Amino acid sequence: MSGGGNGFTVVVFALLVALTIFIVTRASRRGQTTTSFWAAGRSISGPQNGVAMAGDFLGAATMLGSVGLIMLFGFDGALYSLGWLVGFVTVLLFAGERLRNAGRFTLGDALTLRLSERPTRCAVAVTTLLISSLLLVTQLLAAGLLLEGLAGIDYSIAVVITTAAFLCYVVFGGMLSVTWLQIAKAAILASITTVVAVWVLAKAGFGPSTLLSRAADHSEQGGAFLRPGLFLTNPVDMISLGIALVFGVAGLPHLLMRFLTVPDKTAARSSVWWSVLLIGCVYLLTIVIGLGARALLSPAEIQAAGDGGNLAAPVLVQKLGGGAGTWGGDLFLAIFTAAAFATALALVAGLVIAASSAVSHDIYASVIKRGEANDRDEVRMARITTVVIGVVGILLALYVKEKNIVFLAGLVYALAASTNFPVLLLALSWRRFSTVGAVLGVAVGTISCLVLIVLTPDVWPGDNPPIGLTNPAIITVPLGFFSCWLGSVLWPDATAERLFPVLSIRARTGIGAERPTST
Amino acid sequence: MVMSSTSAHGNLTGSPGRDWDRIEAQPEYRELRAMQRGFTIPATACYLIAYFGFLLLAALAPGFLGTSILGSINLGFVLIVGLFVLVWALVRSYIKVARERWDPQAERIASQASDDSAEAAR
Repeated sequence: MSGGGNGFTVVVFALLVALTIFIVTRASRRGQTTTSFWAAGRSISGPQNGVAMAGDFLGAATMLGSVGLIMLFGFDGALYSLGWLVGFVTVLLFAGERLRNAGRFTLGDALTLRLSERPTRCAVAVTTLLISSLLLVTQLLAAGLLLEGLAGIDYSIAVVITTAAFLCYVVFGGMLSVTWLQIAKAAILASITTVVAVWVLAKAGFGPSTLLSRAADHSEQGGAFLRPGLFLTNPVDMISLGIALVFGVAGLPHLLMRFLTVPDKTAARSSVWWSVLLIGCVYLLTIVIGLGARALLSPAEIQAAGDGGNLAAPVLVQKLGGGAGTWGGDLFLAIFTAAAFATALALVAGLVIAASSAVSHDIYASVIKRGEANDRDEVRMARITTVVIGVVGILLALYVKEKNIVFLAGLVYALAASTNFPVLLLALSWRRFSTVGAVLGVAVGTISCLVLIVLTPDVWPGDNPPIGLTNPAIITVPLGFFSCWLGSVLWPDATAERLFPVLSIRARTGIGAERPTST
Repeated sequence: MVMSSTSAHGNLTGSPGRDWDRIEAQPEYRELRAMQRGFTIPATACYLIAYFGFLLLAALAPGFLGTSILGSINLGFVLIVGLFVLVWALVRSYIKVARERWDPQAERIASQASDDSAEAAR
């Protein structure tokens, strides 16, 4: 696929940068307190937050990865993405409104209403940093590879440009500019997806059945293309991946933080509705686009989409525009590339703010300064950590460039599902849950994920990996829950037990919940 | 006065206060808890069984999911769309139940709690 250096790319990118700078300067005009930096002054409405939250999921992975998987594996490709959407039900039932009622800025704020301050904050700060920075590296890699592959910009330069741009967003605008960036990007992504999907359907005479049969006819597998079994063949693997996705979503710090940007519990609920609505529609359209790529592209073009089919969507878009080298093809490709790049960029900004909250709010302001830090110090610290995390992100992304990164995304969800999710769930619902239980759960969950991932076929250097599992969640999630239980039973915590009503009543009723700041 | 505090820290964590224990003992609060569990537990069972059941079906009975429904549209694709609809329906019904039943109950608990603590302060 040769999109290298077409003239439109430069123009579209310049427009994109101008748009985002406009958003950021608008958003950064307000003064910066901790509430405005971390929680956008709790001024984001439910629908706005829902769209921004959808933005967290409609990453480059959806635009590129899902379309590629569906093109290559048909039904199984479609099945793969289902878990994320289902995971939102977990978020709604166990996190959303309860976290809004009980929380302030971070997961640590809610937990320490009953658990002991320093150990709990340190534990969740570690998982927040780990989860956010692993996701950060995957997004930087995606953005860098995209720029290199489609716009002909060198990978290292691309990573540096990306990082520098998102650092500006976060440092100057805080959560408010990150939110608007996410909203703008989700809107762009949804429109492009809709246009492409409708175009594909039009080519099949608006008959889904025709589209399916054409896709099957064009695949080597024929009818099997439309049935399960081409990609996810082992039932244990499937269930394990399902567990990671369904429970992992409710443990993602950058997503949980979003619930604290809305004014009240009603808005927290409606954000979930708007995000499942948008994510669901985009995923359904993605299925159409993936099938369309299979039905419309020639074998040579499918070859050009790469081994994992990651470039299937751009190749299809170029073809719909008129093909490589034509005016329309180049324009379409440029728009698509810019949108996919913006997607990765906006998600990166959300991840960095979550990672920096762990360091400056949980560790610096609460553990080191014991809550004595003033607003200005905390925001200044947040800006410094943002830059540090950005630089570390660049170095990591440059280092892992040559490595296989597919396993990273699965690991992140397994990690979130076996650490943050059990701790949040038990803190809200189990009276005897103790501080030691939380710390032990986080420690065992993290270590078992890291160890097991090394033993899986993707990472193990030898030919015979000790475990055949591609995702460790089926072992680590029960292990995380078990450790939480064991720690609580062996080291009970009278204070945490006495303070249980404080957390549970706040979470259930919203009494004493943080109010929006009046700006 | 604990109830009017907007900042959790120091205020609420430092002193659990009798207010929270009193709320927990209220029959209204126990009712709210029962209402919330009454929705959450069946809803959890419903989406987990649907999703993992579907995964197992895909792993163990691929031929069954390949059953044609309408032309090339087979049972598998219909069930995928069905799960989307299930997720949307669960979210909508959560919002409805929460607005119509939980919120008024929470209001009652909150106003009673502030009456109580005003009395205690007197």
